[in-house]
Amino acid sequence: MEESSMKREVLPQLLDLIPDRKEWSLRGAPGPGRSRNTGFGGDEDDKLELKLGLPGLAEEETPATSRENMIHQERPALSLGYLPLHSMTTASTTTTGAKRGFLDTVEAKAEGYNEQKQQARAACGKELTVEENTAAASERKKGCCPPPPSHAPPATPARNNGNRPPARGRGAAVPVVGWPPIRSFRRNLATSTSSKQPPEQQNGEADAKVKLNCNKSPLVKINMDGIPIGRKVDLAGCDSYERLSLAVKELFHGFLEAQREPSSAESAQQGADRKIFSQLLDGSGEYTLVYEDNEGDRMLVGDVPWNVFVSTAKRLRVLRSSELSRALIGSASEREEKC
Amino acid sequence: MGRGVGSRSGGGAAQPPWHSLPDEVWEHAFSFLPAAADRGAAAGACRGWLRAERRSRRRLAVANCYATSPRDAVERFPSVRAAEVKGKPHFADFGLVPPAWGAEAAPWVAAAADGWPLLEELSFKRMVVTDECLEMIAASFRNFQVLRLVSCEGFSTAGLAAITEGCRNLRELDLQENYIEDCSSHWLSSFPESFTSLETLNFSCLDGEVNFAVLERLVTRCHNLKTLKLNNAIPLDKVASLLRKAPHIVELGTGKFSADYHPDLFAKLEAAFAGCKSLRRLSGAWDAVPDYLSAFYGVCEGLTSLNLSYATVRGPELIKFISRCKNLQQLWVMDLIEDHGLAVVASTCSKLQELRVFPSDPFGAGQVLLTERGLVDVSASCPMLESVLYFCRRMTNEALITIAKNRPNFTCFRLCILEPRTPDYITQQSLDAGFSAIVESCKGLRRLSVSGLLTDLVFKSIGEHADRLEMLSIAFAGNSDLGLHYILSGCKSLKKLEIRDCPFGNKPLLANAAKLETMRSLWMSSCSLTLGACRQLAQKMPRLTVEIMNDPGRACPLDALPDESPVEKLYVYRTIAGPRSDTPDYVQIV
Repeated sequence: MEESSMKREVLPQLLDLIPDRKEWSLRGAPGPGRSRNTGFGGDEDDKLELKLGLPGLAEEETPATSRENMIHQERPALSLGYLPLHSMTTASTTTTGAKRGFLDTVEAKAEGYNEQKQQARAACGKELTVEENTAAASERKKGCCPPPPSHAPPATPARNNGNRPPARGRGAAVPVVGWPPIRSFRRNLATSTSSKQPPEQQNGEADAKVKLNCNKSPLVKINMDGIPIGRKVDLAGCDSYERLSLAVKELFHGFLEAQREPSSAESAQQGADRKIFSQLLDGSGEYTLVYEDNEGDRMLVGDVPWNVFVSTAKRLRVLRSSELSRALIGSASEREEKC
Repeated sequence: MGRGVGSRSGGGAAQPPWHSLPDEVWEHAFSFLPAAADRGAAAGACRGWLRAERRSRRRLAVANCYATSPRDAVERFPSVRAAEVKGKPHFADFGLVPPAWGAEAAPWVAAAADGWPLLEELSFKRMVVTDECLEMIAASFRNFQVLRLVSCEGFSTAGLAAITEGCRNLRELDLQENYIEDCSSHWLSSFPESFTSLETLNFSCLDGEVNFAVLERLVTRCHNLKTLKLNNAIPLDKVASLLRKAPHIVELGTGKFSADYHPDLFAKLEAAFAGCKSLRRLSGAWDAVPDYLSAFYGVCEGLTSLNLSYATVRGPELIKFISRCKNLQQLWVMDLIEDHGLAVVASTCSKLQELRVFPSDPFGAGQVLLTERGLVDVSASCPMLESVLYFCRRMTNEALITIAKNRPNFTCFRLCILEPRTPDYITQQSLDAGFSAIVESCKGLRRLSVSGLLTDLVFKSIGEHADRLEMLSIAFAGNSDLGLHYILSGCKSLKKLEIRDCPFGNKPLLANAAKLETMRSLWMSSCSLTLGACRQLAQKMPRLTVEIMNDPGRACPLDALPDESPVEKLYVYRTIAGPRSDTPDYVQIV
């Protein structure tokens, strides 16, 4: 996938920034199994986990001191999936309700354990089909330890970034089948809209009509060409395409800055950013905004009424206009891989 | 009694020896043994008792529909009046069993129609019940009275119409959480106008409209109606009318509970509830209108069971409501009640026996303030609490140890920490110590579900201490084969074991093969099993059925696969009927 290859290009630079690599591999050990894409290399990680988890030895649980070093790193709003160790039932996973990952136990905050998981999770996304530990570790490094100025959202305490409280941070990657163990009747209560349901759930459940009063905003993933790390955007929070365009700009301009040569004048950069993001929607700019709808098709943003868009968009992407056609072809094969 | 008709001893001896007491004596004696297990034990004593017991058995519960063939069951117990049959494994509730797995009710209905013409009660759980089954039931049993379908599927309102039309003596029609196809059939109207025997009507899981006028007339003429559970199609004002027609109701499931606030409607409801002096159990689909909750205040005092688990009412309103329910024995609620609300429950509901707290937003980000604190409070202050199902996001060993100390009388303890492998959030340790405390303290524990970060050690404790444990559910726990070995080599009373996503492999399974025959069933999915071990197990234990489930997409013949192939889902159960013949493509019996 083009994303991965681009990440790999970026990797060599960032690796040098990591102060103490040894820490990472240590931390990496309990992590990978959990932040791994399902079905891939799962067995490897199993073994790894088993070796560590000797009865009585709570190696995974010891608050690693190494965490202190990374705790104060900015946590990018990547809430990408908590992926379980063993979801071999990938075939049926996508059928259990809309893409919901695990909730973040972000409440139980102080502990580094969750921090670590989040960090691990942060860098891991569907794009990561990289099985090797090292690659994964470096992905994580990228996610967790980028050069500070590149993360635009300032001021807010360690984990907060952009407009989303970290508590929302959560993956839309493959959920685990049948977890948590609640019956389908209840599950339908909790998920206000589910585009994908298992066949058993298709026939009338009375409770499907009951809409929960939760203030849940649909957070969709958004990726930008040339930026290996994705973001999440709250569609319900924007009320129009213009606002969406602005939100996209907010999310990514910091990343873009990081990727430009340090010598460029800042103001010139900002000007360029503005230019880039203002033309997302009309196709005339350097980038174009596309989305993937609930049927898995890539569509150009802006055709349908806003509220229709909100209910059907499952993920967004900021494509280089020049690569638009290439990307569209690529997505077809992407989907094949996914299945 | 004693000598008389049917006496086998024939002679004039003063005291008939035990073995020659006529069967009727034993049958009468056995009628005082309500528990099937006791009757089973009696039947094992000698042939005479076996004969007497089985011929007089009135209630039969078949916990695994494949453990025996329907014909054998009917032959063995020819006088059964009430039968309950359960089908799919428990994890089917959570989508782990693909559709068309089996558990058809049809063979059971057919066998019953042949051998139990006097059958009065039939109950199916997690089975596939078709309209034809329902038609056959209506046609075959002239004194049919009770139909209970729980978590079933495969039928429609047309089948229901057959029941309502054909079963003249129907007392209970109880439909719990089934998937019912709506054929717009007027099943409710099919109750004849002369029909008045209904005592229980539960159609809460039905999607779709019902003719309200018909319902009202039905409720009016069925003077013995005690349980009425409506579906979402019945709006609030209609509930009020129904209650006025059936003020003697004991159990009510409301329909759609939300409506814009109208003082008239409120007054109507309030008055209607005030008239329901016998109302003890309340449930329903409460679409969160706190304004109307206070209309119920009149009945709170008398309530023994409250199911608000579909209610999205927030904490403060919940608290106001529950604080009036001093006599509550059973409470099902959403985690919106929060710790604060549970503290109120703890101080108010001193008679509480069962508590279930469901997650309002299981896939979400966890904004609700429900923690271990709530459970600690309730278990500290409710001396009769014995059954808990608790979904939360964090837990500590200390809390569990406290709970264990306060409530050694737990019989059912199910804790589900939403995020798998969550450790003690304060110490970062595994929750081994906490759960060990539970099993050590609660000697009567019959059902346990564990969650959070757990190592093999907790299973050592469970194996050693949980002597009465009958059902154990494990997910995302353990480190090695040892964990499973501890369970299978301990847990004297274990009947059902269900495991998912644990690193348990072949060795403990094979080493404890004999144990499996003492259990009803074993489910293992996403563990580390291979086909070779399953083959060995099947070979070693002919009275077990070893079922392997592959991805429905890949129906590969088992014989072709090598021993090392991983087994994704394993379901093993004991049976006297041999391998079943109705497996779908993706299920293979080793």
